[in-house]
Amino acid sequence: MKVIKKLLVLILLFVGIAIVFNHPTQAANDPESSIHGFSVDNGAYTVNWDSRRTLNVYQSGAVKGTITTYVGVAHSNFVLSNGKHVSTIMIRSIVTPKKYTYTEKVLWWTNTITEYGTADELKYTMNFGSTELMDVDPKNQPTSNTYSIGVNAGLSASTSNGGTYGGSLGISASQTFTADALKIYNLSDTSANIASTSYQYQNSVWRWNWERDSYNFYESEQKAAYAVATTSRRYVTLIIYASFNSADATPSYWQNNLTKYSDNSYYASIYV
Amino acid sequence: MHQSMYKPIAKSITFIIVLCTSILLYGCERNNVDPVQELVDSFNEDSLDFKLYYLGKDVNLLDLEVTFVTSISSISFNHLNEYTFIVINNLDGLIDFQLEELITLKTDIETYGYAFYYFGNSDFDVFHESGLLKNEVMDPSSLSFGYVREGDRYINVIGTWDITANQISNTNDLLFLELLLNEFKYQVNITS
Repeated sequence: MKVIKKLLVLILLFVGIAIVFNHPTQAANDPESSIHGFSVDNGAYTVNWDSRRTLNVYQSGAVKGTITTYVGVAHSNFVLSNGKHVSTIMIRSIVTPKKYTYTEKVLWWTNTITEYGTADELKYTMNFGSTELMDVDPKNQPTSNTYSIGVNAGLSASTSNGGTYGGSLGISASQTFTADALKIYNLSDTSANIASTSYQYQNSVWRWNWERDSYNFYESEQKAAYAVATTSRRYVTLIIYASFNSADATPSYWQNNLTKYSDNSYYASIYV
Repeated sequence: MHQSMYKPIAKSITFIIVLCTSILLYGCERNNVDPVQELVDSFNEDSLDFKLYYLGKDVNLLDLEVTFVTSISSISFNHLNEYTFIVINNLDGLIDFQLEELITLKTDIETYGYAFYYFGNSDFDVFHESGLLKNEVMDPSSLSFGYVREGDRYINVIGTWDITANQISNTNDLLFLELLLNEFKYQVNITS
């Protein structure tokens, strides 16, 4: 009996160990991507968030607003049936309009002017050339207060290769905004491998924010994701465009006295 | 009065108009000192444990507390300020760099948690080789990169000084200081 008991214990122990070691690995989110608001399965992708870019928009030589942009690239560890890898470019921009003061001096006359910047448009454009553009997000103009980013190119890679050990190959993110305040336009042309998204801030919700001493949309944040299929990795140019308006007086709640318009573009080299 | 008598008067009036217009145009001046001075004051406050090493091109830094150095080897790595920044301004292209000194610099920066910024038109290859610039190629718009810690690792910050800033800097001699301190402010906020 003792021998049988011992055998049973050993069998149970063996089964237990087997269950532990053969349990499908849970998909783990890449921690760096989580910081930037994206959810990326780090078992399926090699992820790189190695850089941030600064784009300033100027008025009269002074900074009217700043766009801080983080760019992450998730490169699929799995190969598609056509021998290509999937790279997903994740973009997160923090839009910061600024209050600025300058003096105008003409002979004996000096005038100090304070102006307030407010975001007008933020736009991303990437021309991938011969690299196949597979998916773009956000795709449509949203009608709710939240838009979600969920490129599906990673899932295609999974299907073509029999999937992975229970892990999802998806990349996702979500963004909350005031529906009236932001219009999103997908300007992409997949047949030409051009990805482009425009976020346009609407006039109807300009409102003075006393607490922050600026307009609403102070430090607004936008995200996008583009997926491409590549045979070899290379540098591609990302154009970040931003325009701002400005007012030379503190506006009332309903007033629209924004006047001066200025813009600037930034060309970044992204390794996809 | 004879018509010829009007000629000198007309000439004088024309001269005065041209002179006044010239003075007006020459006298027009724009300055954005106030917000930059506010930024400088915020970095000079005792409550912010801030130190800046500056090497290279002479620029207007107002009364910002700066330790000017003449070489990379003069930078001290034996103290521990909470926020220590190293700036190399090579926009005039007068500084030469050795790979070995940049590799040592990178190690020291990571060991002591310093933030590093380079401004220039050239030498990006040697900075890439040293590991301070991760990209093989510099962004077409940028004339600067930083090597700074965010979270538990170092990333590149590119575009603090871009081609547009370089073009308009001749109309605003405080633009370099303003953009530099805006970047420092972002970095302090993100690490504090």
